[in-house]
Amino acid sequence: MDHNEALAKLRATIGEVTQVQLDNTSVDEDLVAFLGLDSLGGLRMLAAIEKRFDICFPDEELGKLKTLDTLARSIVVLDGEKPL
Amino acid sequence: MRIGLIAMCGVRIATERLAEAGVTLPQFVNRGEVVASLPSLGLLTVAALTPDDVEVEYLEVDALPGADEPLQTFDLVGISSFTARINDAYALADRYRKLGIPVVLGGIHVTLLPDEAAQHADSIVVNGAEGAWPRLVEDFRLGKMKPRYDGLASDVFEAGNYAAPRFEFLRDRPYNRLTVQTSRGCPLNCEFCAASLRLTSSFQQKSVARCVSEIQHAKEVTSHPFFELADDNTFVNKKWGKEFLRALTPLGIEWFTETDISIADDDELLEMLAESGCRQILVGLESPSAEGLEGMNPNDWKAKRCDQYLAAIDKIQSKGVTVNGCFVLGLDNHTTDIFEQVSRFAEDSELIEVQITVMTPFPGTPLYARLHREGRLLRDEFWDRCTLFDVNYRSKNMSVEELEEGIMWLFQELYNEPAFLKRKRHYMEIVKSRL
Repeated sequence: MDHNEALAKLRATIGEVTQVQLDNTSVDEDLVAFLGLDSLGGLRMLAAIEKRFDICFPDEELGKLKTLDTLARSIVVLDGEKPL
Repeated sequence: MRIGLIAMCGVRIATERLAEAGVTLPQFVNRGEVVASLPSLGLLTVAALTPDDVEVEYLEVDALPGADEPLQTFDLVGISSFTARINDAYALADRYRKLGIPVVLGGIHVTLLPDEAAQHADSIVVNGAEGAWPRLVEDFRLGKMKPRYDGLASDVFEAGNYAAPRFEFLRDRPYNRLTVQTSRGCPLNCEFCAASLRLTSSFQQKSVARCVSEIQHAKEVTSHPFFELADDNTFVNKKWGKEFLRALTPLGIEWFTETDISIADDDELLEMLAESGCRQILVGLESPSAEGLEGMNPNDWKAKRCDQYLAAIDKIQSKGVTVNGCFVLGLDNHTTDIFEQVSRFAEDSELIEVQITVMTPFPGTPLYARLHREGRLLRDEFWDRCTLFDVNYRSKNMSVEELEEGIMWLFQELYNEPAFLKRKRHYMEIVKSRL
């Protein structure tokens, strides 16, 4: 999966979870602030992403995954590490 | 006529090393910021009880204005504060009165210590503002304001007494947390409690229709609101609870509340709770073992429930509703073992959030009266230290230093980064299992 593919799928997933369309949202926007999520809301969004992409973000990175760009980068790496 | 309604907000821990430890711990800071950002529902209700032809301004004051800074002036000022900021409230009241602006003080502290508050006010309101504030404003207009008005301690939500809080005053606040009250009081009547039960003669519940109407109104003032129910114990009445949740679900909100562990007894209620957008319930567990809980409530309610805590927490959290488990340290049966016991309980229960406080003898509570009688209070007056973290009494089985050291140790145990991440991961796995 490349970065753009991950971004497109991410926008769709977050849109479904939060009911907010992210089509025109900058990839550098802080999503928790933009979506008005509390700390648990941010975790619910990450859980939904993990489930959709069948990945598991490293726990120590959870606090850093704040934008579409950082999420997409992490997804591309984790997806590449999946056994074929 | 213009009335200024001023809410004192924010709390500062007085004991330096505890304050220093607290501000470096992420989860501790997070909840502290949330609490500090909550509006004063009491004053929003006072605003609603004010006659329509009176102009009202709602202000939140954290840092007091400097002595050389001018105060915003009004014809009448109403100030509400919790105990930890009451001395600042009195200082502000004194400054207004020096300017010739009459001041009214109200709230729980004022209700519990009316004679003290009266020294800093032209008038005080005890109990809730319902039944008192409209009379006070009319008397003020006629130049006949009395030194004390007793608000209602019962029937506060009945027609003719009830007023929906004026949430529109919160429109430009930088926070998205909004509070709505569905009840006042709590039948558990814990000895230490200084919450709304001290304002009421019995547990009082608002109608579901009124709760929903308030939430709908509040939703209009901010985008992406998150609701905190300003209750001591929301689900005392399970039948009412189900009716409330049924009405709440279509509103599509996310929310938090405080209730007791008996909520886990009712599977249907738990399912409805999760469906309705409830993200967290705060439960006063107080102590991980029954010995620490004996004598706390009439009939030892919490002591009898204690052995069900682990199963109940697991059941609630498995529905996707997180539990914020609260512990009170320094109860009479606690020894220095309590800190490790709480740490172990937090680990075993996999609580998503843990809150620890030190037993605090708020003035006017049965706990204060008992400790005063037993000569165990460290100071006669310590209101600014009623922060829930500063030690103000002699524990039965620990020195003050042991209690403070234990709290420091437990802070580090519960709120360090790995423990925090472990709780985050546990929550994410629960969420994933329910998707």
